[in-house]
Amino acid sequence: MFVPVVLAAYQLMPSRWRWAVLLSASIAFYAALRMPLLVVAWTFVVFTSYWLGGRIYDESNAIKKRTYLWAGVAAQIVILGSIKYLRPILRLIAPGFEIPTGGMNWVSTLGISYYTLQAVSYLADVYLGTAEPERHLGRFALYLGFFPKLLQGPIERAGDLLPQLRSLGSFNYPNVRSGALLFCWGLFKKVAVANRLAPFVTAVYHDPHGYNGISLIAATYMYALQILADFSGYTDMALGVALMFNIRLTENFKYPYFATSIADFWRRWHISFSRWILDYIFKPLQIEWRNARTIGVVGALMVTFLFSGLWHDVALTFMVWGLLHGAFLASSVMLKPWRERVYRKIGVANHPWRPAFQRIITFNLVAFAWIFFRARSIADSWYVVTHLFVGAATRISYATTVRGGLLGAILNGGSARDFAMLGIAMMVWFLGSTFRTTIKIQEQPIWLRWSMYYALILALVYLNAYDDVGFVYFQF
Amino acid sequence: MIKPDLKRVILQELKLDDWQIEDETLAAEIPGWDSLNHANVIFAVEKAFGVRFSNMEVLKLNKLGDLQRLLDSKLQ
Amino acid sequence: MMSDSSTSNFKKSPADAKHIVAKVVLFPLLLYGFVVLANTVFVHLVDWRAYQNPEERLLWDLDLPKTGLVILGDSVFSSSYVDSPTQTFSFLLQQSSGKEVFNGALQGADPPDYLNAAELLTSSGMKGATVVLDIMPNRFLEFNQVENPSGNQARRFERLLGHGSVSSLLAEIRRPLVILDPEILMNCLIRKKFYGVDPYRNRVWDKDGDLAHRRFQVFQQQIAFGSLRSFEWVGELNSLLRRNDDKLVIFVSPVNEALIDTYSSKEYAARCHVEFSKVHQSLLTYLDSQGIPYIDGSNQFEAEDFVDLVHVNAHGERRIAELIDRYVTGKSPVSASTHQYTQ
Repeated sequence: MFVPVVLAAYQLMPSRWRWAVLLSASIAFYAALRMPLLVVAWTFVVFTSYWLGGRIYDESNAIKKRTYLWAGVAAQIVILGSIKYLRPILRLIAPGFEIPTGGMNWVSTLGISYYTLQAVSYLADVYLGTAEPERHLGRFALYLGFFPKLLQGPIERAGDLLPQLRSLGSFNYPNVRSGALLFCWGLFKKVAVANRLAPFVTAVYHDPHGYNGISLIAATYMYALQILADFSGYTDMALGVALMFNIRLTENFKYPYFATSIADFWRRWHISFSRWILDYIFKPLQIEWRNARTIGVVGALMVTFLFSGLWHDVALTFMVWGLLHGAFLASSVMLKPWRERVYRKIGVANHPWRPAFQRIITFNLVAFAWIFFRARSIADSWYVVTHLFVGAATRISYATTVRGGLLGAILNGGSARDFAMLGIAMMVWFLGSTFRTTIKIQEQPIWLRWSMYYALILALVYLNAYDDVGFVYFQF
Repeated sequence: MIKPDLKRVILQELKLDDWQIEDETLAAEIPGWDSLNHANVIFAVEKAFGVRFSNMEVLKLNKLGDLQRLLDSKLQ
Repeated sequence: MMSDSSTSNFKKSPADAKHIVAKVVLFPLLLYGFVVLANTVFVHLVDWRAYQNPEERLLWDLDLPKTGLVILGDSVFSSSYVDSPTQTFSFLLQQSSGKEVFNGALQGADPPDYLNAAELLTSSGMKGATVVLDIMPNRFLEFNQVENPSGNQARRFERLLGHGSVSSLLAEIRRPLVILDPEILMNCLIRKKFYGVDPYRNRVWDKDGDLAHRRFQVFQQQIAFGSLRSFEWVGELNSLLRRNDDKLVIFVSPVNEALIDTYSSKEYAARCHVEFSKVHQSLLTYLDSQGIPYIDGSNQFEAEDFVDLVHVNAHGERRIAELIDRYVTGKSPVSASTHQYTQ
């Protein structure tokens, strides 16, 4: 549909104008969402950071430099805040007060959380001297608005993306092929795995009181898988499309549930975002507070992860989620000196099973935190937390038994078929991920390659689930 | 060239017996020197040599050689 | 990174370009070939229609010429509570009237789904057919649940017919290849039975568990006596069909009064009867005003014909077939009786 047309146009243009093709495609893409306010906001972000980037670099006076930087950061925060957070914040502090929204709903925040952060990173990098400002307005706009990454990231660094935009190569068949394959794989994860997990998770999390502890636990684990499939699926689609234009965006996921610690988890989950909060919030705070040693680190961690929670949404549940992760990391930091000593004493420090044990613990901590991410209110999340190990079902609401999508019904054979299809989808996911790491697809003989492509296409045809769940991370 | 006294402070803070530390070495390559520990190492260096780096200077550090040069500039 | 300064787009030789184009063309064709082959074998070996969800027939067989009787409706006409296809009213009707009967009723359908179905049917060539639609009177009572403006079956329509130009085209290509439909495959694999499987089997409301009672309780919770919902969609449907020389006939479906009397207090039952009577009257008045013929099924059924408040069992299916047959073969005029319930 959209992509082949753009690819063709991209090809036909002499290389000097390729950026223009991509930029107009990106603007058209954003405009197609029919939220003109967003396009206006994006334009504003582009112009302010473009201009200020140049000023920061050219200015020699240190104080003026800093002022420009903070002006730029403030501008992005204001834009982000007013578009995204005004309504939720008002709702939080003045529940009765409704501002005229003109039909805006959650759709209205698509993308803005991502490119504003990217703009801040650009300004900071110019300020710190790790990046040179982009003088070409068109290329800069493309840097911020490149359509594969426009809506849900990854958040690109100037040093990674700008050089690529400066030398936009021509049609590279291997890249188009790999890109298309990656796109299909991401699509599979989204429509076959995440969409199939969603109804089970939704059934439970929209009515937690109707389910027993086992169901709550199962639904939470399923959500952990759902959000991974969903978001990494989207990321693969974005990276795949970008690759078709010879642009390599940053990896956002690296088998996050194999992490051996929460710190490791954040090096594998939503990598572009966690690197952003690391470099632009955590590091400066940590260095500012280094005199306070461990307390300083803890403080920096809590602030950073509070920001992370709020960035996702201004709601108590997300704040708790963020603070939980902050607390996990803080306690890890505080306990570190004793932990190693204790392990060595018990003699398990180098036990071969230790990494497996760490992974299990880490996964469960992360899954626990996801409860707050998914629950629709603090009350609900508290209910889930306190009833995880409560036994038999007390009361199952009528609506859910009729719908037949709940876990209790699975155990009674109600929607066994859906569950079976989900199982198949998950096996394909597992196999596919294994293949991706162990087999270099491009190096295989053509019959094997094509068989695998066909297998993926058929998997998409057979296992896709119609659902308008949407991308989970779209709302951020 | 990383001077031996700086190297000693770093190794001590990270509780390492020995490690190859050159100009081009990155902090991430040294075991135990992760982002959570970063400020501690910087602080230890500051304390050991009685200097104080500005936040900006620390944020701009890239390789170990940068740290050595920064330290030298403060000690002059 | 390769940087192209010239205007030539393929730095590769023409042979390479041809190679790529050949692959790009061959790839989908080969896949299509495989699937067509597999499909042919599958259709040859397996009687997939025997395992097809009866409700999807409307969408699968959209292209079949429809010149006889077309049944549209919701669960009342879905013939769910029988033990075999030969007990459904559409089968019986086909036998007795000698006309071809196509049942396109969809469980849980709402007016938007009817309009959707009618549009699809007319645009795929249905002309000069008689469309019989069931309307249960309580459809016009106010419910606590809001109706979905796009209907309850929108997803099913989309799944089989696509939405938007690209997906419709893909759906067109896909439809003859039944092997690509996971539902069909799965159903054939597990030899799915659609009839006679609990709770969808022949049963009588007061002699078989408490399904009817539970459903009635939900009904009581959901219903809100008072104003009536709009009849407009019926007129819309009628005009739509008229435009294609098709005739709309409404089957006013019955309500199980005995159930109401049994499961509710005297006052509530009395209230129910009055309200249903009101709806019934308004509906008939509306149909008369629009010149839409109807078959009034109320009072034509006995308590043993029902599974719950509105659905019928095998016995009831025979009665439905009888009533429609009488109308179609002209043996009885349009029934205009209304029954006044004694208070």
